[in-house]
Amino acid sequence: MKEFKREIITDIGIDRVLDFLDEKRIKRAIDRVLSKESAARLKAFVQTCVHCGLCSETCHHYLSHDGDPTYAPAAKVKMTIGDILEKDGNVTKEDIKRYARIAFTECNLCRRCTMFCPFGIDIGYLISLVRRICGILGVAPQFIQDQVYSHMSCYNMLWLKQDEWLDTIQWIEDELRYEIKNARIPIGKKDSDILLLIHGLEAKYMTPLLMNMLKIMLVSGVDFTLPDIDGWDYTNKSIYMHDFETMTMVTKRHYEIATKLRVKRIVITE
Amino acid sequence: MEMIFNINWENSSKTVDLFSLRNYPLFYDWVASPDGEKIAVVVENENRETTVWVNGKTWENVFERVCYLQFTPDNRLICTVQKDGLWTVAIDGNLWENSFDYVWNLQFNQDGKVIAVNVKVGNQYSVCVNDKPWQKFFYDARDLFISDKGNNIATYVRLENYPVLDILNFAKGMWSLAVNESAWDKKFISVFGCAFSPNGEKVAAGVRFSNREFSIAVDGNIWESTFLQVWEPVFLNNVDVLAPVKTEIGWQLYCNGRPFWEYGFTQIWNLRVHPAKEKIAGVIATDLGKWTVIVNGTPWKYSFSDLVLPPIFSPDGEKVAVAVKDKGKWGIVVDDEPWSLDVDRVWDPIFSPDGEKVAVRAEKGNKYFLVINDKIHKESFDYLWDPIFSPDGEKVLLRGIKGNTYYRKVLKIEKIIG
Repeated sequence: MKEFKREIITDIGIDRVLDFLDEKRIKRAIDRVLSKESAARLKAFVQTCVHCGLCSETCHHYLSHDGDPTYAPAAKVKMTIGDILEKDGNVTKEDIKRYARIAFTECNLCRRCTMFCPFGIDIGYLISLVRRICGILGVAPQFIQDQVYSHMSCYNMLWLKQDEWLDTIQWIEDELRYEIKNARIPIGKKDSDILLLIHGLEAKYMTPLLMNMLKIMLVSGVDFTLPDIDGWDYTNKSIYMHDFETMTMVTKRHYEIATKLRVKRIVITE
Repeated sequence: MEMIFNINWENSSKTVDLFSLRNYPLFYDWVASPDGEKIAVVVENENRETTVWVNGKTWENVFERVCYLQFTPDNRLICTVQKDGLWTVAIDGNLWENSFDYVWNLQFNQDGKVIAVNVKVGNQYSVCVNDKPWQKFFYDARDLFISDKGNNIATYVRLENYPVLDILNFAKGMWSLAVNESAWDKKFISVFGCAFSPNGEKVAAGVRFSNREFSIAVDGNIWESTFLQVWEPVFLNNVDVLAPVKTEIGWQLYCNGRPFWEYGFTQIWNLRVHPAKEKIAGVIATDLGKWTVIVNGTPWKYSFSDLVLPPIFSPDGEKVAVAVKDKGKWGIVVDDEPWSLDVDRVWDPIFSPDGEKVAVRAEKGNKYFLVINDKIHKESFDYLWDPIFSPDGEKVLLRGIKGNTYYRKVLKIEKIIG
């Protein structure tokens, strides 16, 4: 195989966090994921791959790096989960850094490779296990971690405070009244037909987009409401770290709001 | 929450004409008082002057905005209002003396005597209780919790003001719980699921640590064990705390940090306790997409594919009722017996004081109906509020809107269920 050579990039979410880890803690995280959380398909997938290379041409990372075989999906599996299995989980911090780089920046988990694999090996699943291991260790790109920390405590991706959310919607309502007479945006309205959840960016940086979507909702005459508590942001950035705990907390919150307001359905923007 | 109502059960009916509301270009957020005597709504005129309309009369004050309009159990009408750019709380049209840059999360305790809001002053966050602001402010305050008796109040607070992207400091934890102005002396990645003991003296919450493990904190003291994940705790009595926790055998029920039920489930959450009898009900998944209720460790035989909402105990703690959604259809189940009800939407079941009857409001074909013991009352409404049983369980108070009229009706239950 061609040598794994990459331009050096530093990210405090990976480089600095590794400073706080030791190999014992790394082993514990690997054991948790591979022996307690992974399904039998992990072993089957790893043992089934015959390195035929059919997955290579399906991967946009491979194609956009001029066919560098170290970007081929099968190679990325071999260099990450394959390496972990081969070393029985006794890996170094430098190994984790390499795994994180591959799992977070050289595979989007699009699963196009899986569509072309003659055995149907779910390569996205295998790489996602690597993200999960890194996620448990807190090793992930800084921007992802920032948004996940926000989700953990605020249920939105951008640290929006509760009053900022409410005030933003009230301000948008004021603005909309220049275009729609008596525009009224319901917040926390019980027994509506629709609970509208939005993208966190739309509330903080892309309010004109949100305004347009609310305009459509108002003009269409549907009976809808936005949440009046945390849980209005449907994004769930924790999926990128495979932080299942935060993922379930955020999703649970959406359903709790929907059932508390007893809406008939949830609609999301974008 | 057990409400205390002072209701006239003899005066069988009353109507309020809503036609005059057509004089307002905009009206929204209908609320009916617990005794059914009053109906209120926020109204705006052409100049965007906003106030509250109650049984045909408006408050004297006008505001820029009126939010969180609601009746307390003692039939007072409360809301948050913005006047001259500042926000405060209005009670039956009378404003608190204190005003703030923003107020939200307006709440009250079980008897409605204690009213509180989250407040913002400048970039500082806190709580105001019965018009008395806490002296201590925080970098952020989220959600508000009042004990049933109103003796203690809590809010999640941010104790550090690290800037965005400062992940190495975020990892140290910066969230805590403030109870009556004083924050716990520990900081967490997150705090959630705040719950007071029945007497309000103790408070518990789920907490997440820097190493991404979870536990339960009670009055700031953390259980000895940590877990893969936890859900919201509840008090079994005034001392002992229950919580669903994720262990290596699945989701388990723990009490004070130790296993309470030895076996595990695919999921367990939405715990409810009958404190007098120390009975426990919760929602469990026995497998993916198989949701049901568990009472004192015994699961119901029926399971439901979509949703099982938090179980509700009868006042004597002997029965449990719950709203469910199965294969896209809403339903009610009482003590493991599903009703035959065929409707588009149902709300939470309500027990009569003796536990013998269960009432619920339901929607079918965009009309609202009262349902008691699986029997649908023939009269439909454009909207209904939750029904309320008389203390003897023989009558039910119905509050609804039909056309341009608000109706308050006291119905004899025997006429509905035969």
